[in-house]
Amino acid sequence: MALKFKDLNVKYGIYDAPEDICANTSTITNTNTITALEDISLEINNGECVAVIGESGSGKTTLSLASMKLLAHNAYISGKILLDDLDISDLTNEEMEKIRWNKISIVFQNYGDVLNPLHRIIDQVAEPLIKNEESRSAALDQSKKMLDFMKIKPGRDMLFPHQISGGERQRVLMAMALITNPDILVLDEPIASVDAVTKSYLSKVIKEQVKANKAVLLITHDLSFAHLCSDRIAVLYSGKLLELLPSQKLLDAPHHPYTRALVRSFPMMERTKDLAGVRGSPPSKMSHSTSGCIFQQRCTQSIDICSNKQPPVKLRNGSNVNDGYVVCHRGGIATMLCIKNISKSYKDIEVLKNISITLDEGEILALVGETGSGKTTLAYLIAGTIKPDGGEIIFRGREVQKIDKKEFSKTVGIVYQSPRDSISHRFTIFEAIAEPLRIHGLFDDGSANRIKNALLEVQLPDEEYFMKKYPHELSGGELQRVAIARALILEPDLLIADESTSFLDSSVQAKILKLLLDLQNERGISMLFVIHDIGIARKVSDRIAVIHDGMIVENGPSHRVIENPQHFYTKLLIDASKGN
Amino acid sequence: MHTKFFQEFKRNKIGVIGLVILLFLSTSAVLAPVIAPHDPWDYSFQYLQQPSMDHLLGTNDIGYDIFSELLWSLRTSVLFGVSVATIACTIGMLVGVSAALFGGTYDVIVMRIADALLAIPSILILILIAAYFRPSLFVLIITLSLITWQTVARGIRAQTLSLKTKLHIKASKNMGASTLYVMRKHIIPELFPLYAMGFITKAKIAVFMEAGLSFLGIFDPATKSLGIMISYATHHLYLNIWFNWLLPPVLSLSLIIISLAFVSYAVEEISDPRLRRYHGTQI
Repeated sequence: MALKFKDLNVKYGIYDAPEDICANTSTITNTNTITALEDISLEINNGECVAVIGESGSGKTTLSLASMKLLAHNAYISGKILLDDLDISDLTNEEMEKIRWNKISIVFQNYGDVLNPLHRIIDQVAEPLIKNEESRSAALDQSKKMLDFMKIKPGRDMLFPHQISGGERQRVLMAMALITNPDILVLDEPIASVDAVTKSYLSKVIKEQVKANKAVLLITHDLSFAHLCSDRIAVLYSGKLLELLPSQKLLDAPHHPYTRALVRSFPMMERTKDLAGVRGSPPSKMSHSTSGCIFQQRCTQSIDICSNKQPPVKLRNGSNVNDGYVVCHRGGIATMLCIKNISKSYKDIEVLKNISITLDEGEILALVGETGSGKTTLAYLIAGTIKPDGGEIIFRGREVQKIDKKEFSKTVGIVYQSPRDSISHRFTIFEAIAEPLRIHGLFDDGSANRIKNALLEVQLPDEEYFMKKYPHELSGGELQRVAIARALILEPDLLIADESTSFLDSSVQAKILKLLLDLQNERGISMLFVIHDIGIARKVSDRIAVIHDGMIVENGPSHRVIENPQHFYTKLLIDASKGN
Repeated sequence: MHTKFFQEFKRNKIGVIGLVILLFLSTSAVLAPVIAPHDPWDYSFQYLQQPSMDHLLGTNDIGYDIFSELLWSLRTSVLFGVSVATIACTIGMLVGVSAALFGGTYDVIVMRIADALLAIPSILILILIAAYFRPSLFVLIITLSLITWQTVARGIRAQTLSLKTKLHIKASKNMGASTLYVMRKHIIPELFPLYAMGFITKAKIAVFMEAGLSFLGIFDPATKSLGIMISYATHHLYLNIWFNWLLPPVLSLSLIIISLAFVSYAVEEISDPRLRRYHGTQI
C-alpha cells in the first residue's frame, strides 16, 4: 500500500469558531487562517522510506497528522490524501477508525503526555490489537514480544510511562505503531530524545520495515537520520516542498539553497565545517502573502523574479517527479563562477595549467595548496585583476574580461594576506573603509553611518576616536577586521580571502575566521578562501579544491576530501597538517 | 598630499621654528630693495664706521653699508637655493618616475648617467667652471642643477618602483580605482616627502656652495653674497669688526641652513605617520 498526497493544503483557523470556517470554505481568508501546508504532492511507495525534513514550524507534524486524519478541529484540508486509491480526506471518523493502526499507524512525537499515565506500557502497546477484537492474553503476549523486539528490558514492560526513560518511551511508541503490522508507517520525530545507540537500533528497525515492503514516512529534523534511513528526502519549508532528492545526494549535492543551509546547520559526524544556521527567520505564519518564492527573503541567490512570481518545479534528472525536483526560479543552486581551461604563465614559468572549476552562489570554496602552487594567481584571475593566457572565466553567464572592470570590482571584495600592507598607512580607518565608496563615486552624506555600521558588523568600535586612528595604531587582528569591513562595504557577491589569516596568531585567526563565516552566512555571499593550511580549509569550506603544480588535483565536498583523499598530494597535505 | 598637512605642521614645534626663521630670512631677502636703508653698491660712506642709527651694522673697509649688503646677499642665497632646488628636483622627479614606469633601455641609460654624475664631485666641477668661465649667476644655477639631480632621481625611482608593487596600491586598483585616483591618493602622497626632502637638501647644498665659492673668490665679485662678505670680513679681523661685519653673514648663513634642516625634519615627521609623537586626534 502506498501513501500519496496530492495538492494537499492545510490551513488552521485562528478564531474561536473554526468549525464554521471549515464548514464553509468561502469564509476562509488569508487573515483568519494560518497556512500549515500548501500544495503538497508526495508519494511514498511500498518498500520505500521518504523523509521529510525542515525547521521547526515548517508543517512536518501537520503532514504526519494529516496522513492519519488526526488534525485538530480547526484545520481545513483541501486536496487528496490517498492510501493507494482510497482518498481518506473524504472518510468519516468511523471509517478512519478501521484504517488507523490496521493499514496505517503513527509514531507520535514523544511528548511527556503522549502515553496514558494510568496504564502500563504493555497494555498500551496491546491496545490496538485488543481494539481489533483480538483476545487480551494473545494481545499481551504479542505486546511483550514487540517490546522485547524494541529492546525494552524484561520486567520493565509492566511499568507505567512515567517510570521509564524518554528513550524507552520512544521505543514503546514505536512498538505501538508496529504491533498491528500496518502497511504504512508514519514516524513523527521518532528519535527526538534518544541516544545514539538507540538511534542506530531504530534505524535498523525502520530499514527492516522498508524491506518488508512497507511505505514509511519519516518526519524528522535530524538530517543524518534521514540520510541514513530514507531513500528519498523531501524538504519542507514553511508549508511548501522546496526540494525532493535522493538521500545519498543530501550531503554532497543538494540543489535548493535551503537544503544546503539545513545541511550546513546540522552537526553530522561527516561534517568538518563549523555550523551555521539558516540566515534570517521563517516568514509569517499568517497565510502566505508573498506572490513570489516563499524562501526568497532568506535565499542567498534571489533575483528580481523571485519576489513576484511563484517558482516553477524543475525536475532533477530525467522526467519523473519522484526522482527528485527543486522548486526554484534559478533551477536550484546556481553557478556563480565557471572557470574553463584557464592557463597562465609568467614568462617561461607556467603557473596555471588548464584549470577548470566552478563556484556556486552562496558557496564557500577553499583553494588549498603550497606556496607557489598558483592559488593566488587563480584568485586574482577570478577577481579580474590579471588576464589569463587561455580559457574562459564566466561570471553569472558573462565573460569576466568583457565585463566593465570598474563595475565588476563592485561585485568582488578581496581581503588580503597582510592588512598592514593592504591598507595605506596614510589613511585613517575612516578613510580606509571609505575608499571603495570614493572610488565608485558613492561617498555621500549617508556614508559616515554606513561606515559606522560596517565597523560594528566586524565588531570594532564605531566611535569617532577609533575612526581617526591610523593603521599602525591598530593590532593585526583589528586591522584585518578593517580590511574585511572595507571589502564588504560595497556589498559584493563574492568575497576572496587570500591567506587572510596566515599572519595572525591562532586566537585572532579563529576570531577572524568566525567573523568571516558569520558575515558570509548572514549576507549569503559566495566565498573563495585561498589558503595553504588544509586544516583550516576543512573548518571553513563547503568544498575544497587542492591545487598542485598549477593543476587542480582534487575537488570535492570538504568532508569527502578530508575523509577519503584520492590524490597523493592531498594525502600529503593532510598528513603534514596532522604533523605526520 | 597627506590630509591636513598644514595643521600637522603647525603643531610641530621644530618645524614652526624652522619655518619662522626661514620665512623671516626669505622675506628680508625678497624685500631687500625696499627695506635696505642704502644702496649696497654705494661706497660713498665713511669706511669702517661703527654701528649707528644710520648704518645699523656700520660700514666696511670701502664704505659699503653692511646691513644693506647683508640683505642683498641673503637675496642671492635664497634665489640660488630655491632655483637650484626647484630645477634639480624637477629633473630628478621626471627622470626618476619615468625610469621606474618605463623601465627597459631608457631606465638603464638614464640611471647610468645618474651613476656617473654621482661619482663626480659636483663641487669640483662647479669650482672649475666658475674659475675658468666666470659665468653669470643664472648659468651657475643651471650648472649646479644639472649635476645634482641624480640623488633625487635615484630616490624617486626607487620609491616609485616599490610603490608599483605595494599591496595597498594593488588593492586600490582591484577596488576599481582609475590610474588618476591611484596617482592622486597613493603615489603622489608617497612621493611628496621624498620630493620635499630632496628640495630642502638641494637648497641647503646650493646655499652652502654659493657661499663657499664666493668665499673662495671664484664667484662674480660684483654680486652681493654672504661668502664674499665673510671673506672680506676675515681680512679685517684685526680691526675688531667681528661682531658687526663677520658675525651677521655667518649667523645668517647658519640660520638658513639650520632652518632648512628643521623644516626638512618636520616634513619627514608629518609625512610619515609612524614618526609622529601624537596620534588619532585629527583626521
